[in-house]
Amino acid sequence: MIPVTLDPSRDEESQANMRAVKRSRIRERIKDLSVWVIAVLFFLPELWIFLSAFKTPQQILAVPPRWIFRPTLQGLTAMAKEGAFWTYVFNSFFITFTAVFVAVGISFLAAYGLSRFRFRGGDFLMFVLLSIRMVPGSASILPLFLMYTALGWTNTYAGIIAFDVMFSIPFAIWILKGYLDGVSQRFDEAAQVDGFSRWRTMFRIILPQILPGIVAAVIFNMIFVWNESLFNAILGGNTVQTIPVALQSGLNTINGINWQYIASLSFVYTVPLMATIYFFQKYLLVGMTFGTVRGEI
Amino acid sequence: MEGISLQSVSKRWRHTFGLRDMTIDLYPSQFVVLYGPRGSGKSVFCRLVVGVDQPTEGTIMMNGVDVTHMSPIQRGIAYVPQTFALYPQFSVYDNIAYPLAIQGEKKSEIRGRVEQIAATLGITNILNKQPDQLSGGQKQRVAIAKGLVLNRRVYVLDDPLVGLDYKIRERLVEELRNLQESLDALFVYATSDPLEPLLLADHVVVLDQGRLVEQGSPGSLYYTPNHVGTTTLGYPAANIIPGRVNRDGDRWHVRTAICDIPIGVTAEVAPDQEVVVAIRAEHFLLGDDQSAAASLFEATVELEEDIGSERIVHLRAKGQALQAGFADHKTSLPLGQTLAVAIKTSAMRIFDQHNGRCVATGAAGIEG
Repeated sequence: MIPVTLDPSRDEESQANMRAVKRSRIRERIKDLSVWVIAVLFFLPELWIFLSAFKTPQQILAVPPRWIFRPTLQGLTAMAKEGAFWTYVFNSFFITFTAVFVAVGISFLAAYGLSRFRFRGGDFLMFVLLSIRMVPGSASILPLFLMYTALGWTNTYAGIIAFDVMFSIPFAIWILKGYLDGVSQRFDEAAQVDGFSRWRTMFRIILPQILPGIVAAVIFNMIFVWNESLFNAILGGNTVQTIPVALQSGLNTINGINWQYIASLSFVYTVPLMATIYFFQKYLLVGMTFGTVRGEI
Repeated sequence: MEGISLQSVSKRWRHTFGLRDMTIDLYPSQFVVLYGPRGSGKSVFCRLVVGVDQPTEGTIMMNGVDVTHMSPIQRGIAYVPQTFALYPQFSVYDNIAYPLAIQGEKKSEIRGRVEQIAATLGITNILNKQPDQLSGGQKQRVAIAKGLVLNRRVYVLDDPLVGLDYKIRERLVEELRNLQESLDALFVYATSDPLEPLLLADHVVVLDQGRLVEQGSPGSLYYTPNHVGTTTLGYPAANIIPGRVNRDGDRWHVRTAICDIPIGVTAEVAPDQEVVVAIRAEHFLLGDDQSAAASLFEATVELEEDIGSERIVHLRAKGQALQAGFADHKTSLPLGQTLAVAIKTSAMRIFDQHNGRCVATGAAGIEG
C-alpha cells in the first residue's frame, strides 16, 4: 500500500493543479466579460433609440446623453394619435404577413417538387432561382418601376405583396428543399402504399417533419419583408407605405428632424420582430444549419 | 391467371440492373419466399410488385389485369418495406391504424384489429409511445404490424425479420406461417436468411444478380439444387470446392484439391471444364471403408460446434476449410485429430464455375 496522502510531492502537485484550475477559471471570466462588452457596444445604437422613445425631445438631445431619467409616454401617445401611424402599422403587418404566408406556401410546393421529382437541369434551376437575389435592388428598380406603372400596379397592396413574394421565394425554396431532401423518400412511399393522396402526403406526413425549416423560412423572409423599404418607397405610395418607408421620409420635415417621433416609431417597429424571433429562437438556430443537422427521426 | 404474373420484367437505372428479364407466376394462397444474397434484386422485385417502383420493361399482371402502371393502393397489396418509415408525428397506435382509417373502417373495428395484431407481435405495451421512443427491434415490429393489419389478398414482406433477436424471429416465423394459412393469401417474402425459406415457403424463388436462377419447393431446392446460389440454403451452407473435370477413358471425375470425385456424365461437361462441387455437411462420412478410396481424404479437426440436435465439425483438408455434420457420430472429436473422411458422392451436385448452372451429379458407388 502506498500512503498517497502522505506523499509531500503529491500534495504540491495537487496545489499546482488547483492554481491552474483557478487561472483557467479567471481566463474564462475575462472571455465572457469581453464577449458581453462587445455585444453591448453593438447594441448601443439600439439601446439609444429604445431609451429615446421614452424621453422628452430635450432629454434626447441632451449632451452628455442621459442614462437615468423619468420615462415618459409622451412621444408614443402623440404618435398614436396620428392617423397615418396606424396606416403604417397596418401596412407593415398586413404586407409582411400576407407576403410571407404566400411565399412560404408557394415555396413549400415548389421545393417538394424539386426535391421529389428529379429532372434534368433541376440543380441549375435552383441556381437560377437564387440568382434573382444576386441582382442589386438598385439595378432592378427602374425596369420594375416601368413595368409596375405600365400595369397600373404602383401603390397597390397586390403589387407590393407580389414583389415581396417574388423576392422571398428563392431563399425559401433553398431552405425548404434542404430540409425536404433530409426527409427520406420512404415516407412518401409508405404514404403511397397506405393510400394517402399526394396532397395529403405532403401536408400530413412530410410537412410536420420539416416544421423547423418552415419556421426558418418564415423568419428569414419576415425579416426581409418587414425591413424592405427601397421598393416600397418607389413602387408604393401613401396607401401602402410601411413603417421603414415612413421612417425614411419622416427624417426630413420642415422643423428639422423630429427625433422623438423617429425614436418612438423605431421602437414600435423593432419590438414585434424582436419578440417573434425571440419566441422562435430555438427553431431559428436549427434553421441556420440548413437542414444538415437534424434530430434523429 | 389468378395471382401475380411478371412477364419479361426488367428494372434498370442508368448503369445498373435491378432485375433482368424476370418472368414468373406467383399463385394465390401460397407462401412464396424470394431468396438470394444482398443485391440480388429481392427488394426491387418487391417494390415492383407493390407498385412503389415502375419496371423499365415488361408487364405485371394481377388476376389477369395489367397493373404495371397502377398505384400501390389500386393494386391493393399490403407491404412491409425493408427500409420502413414510421410517421414520427403519430403514436405507434396511429401508425398502425392510419391505413385502416383512410379506408374508412369503423373506429371500433380498427381498435380490435390493431390490438389483435399488436398482441401477435408483442407490441401491445408500446402502442401509446411515439416511434422515436422505440428500439430498433420494436420499430421493426411496428412496421410489420402496419403491413399485416390490412386485410388483403397479397402481402409483400421485404426481409421483415432481419436483425431481430433469435427468440422473436423464431416466434414470428411461426406466426407468419399461421397467419398466411388463416388468411389464405399470397405471401411474397424476401429474405437472405438461409433457414427462413425452408421454414416458411411453399415455393422458393432463388435470385442472383437480378436474375431468376431457380425456383421450386424448399425440399427439391435443398436436395437437388440446379444453381450454385441455391446451395447456401439451410445450415450450414454447402461446402463449395473448386475443381476441374478430368476424363480417364470412360471414367469421369472432378479433380479437387482434397480428392477426386467421380461424376455422372451429361452433355454439359467437357474435359478441363472449371467447376465447383457442392458438398452438404451431411454428405461427409466418417470411416475408413477402403471401397471409398476415390473420395477418401484426410482432414484435421479444427473446431467443433455443438448446436444440440447436431454437431458441426470444422475440418481442414489440404488448406480447404470444410464444415461437416456426422449424424451417427455422437461423441465429440478431439481437436487436432486427423480423420479419414469419405464423401457420399451420389448426393453431390457439380456446377459450372462461370454461370453457376448444375452440369453433373456425383456418381454413386462410393458410399461409406
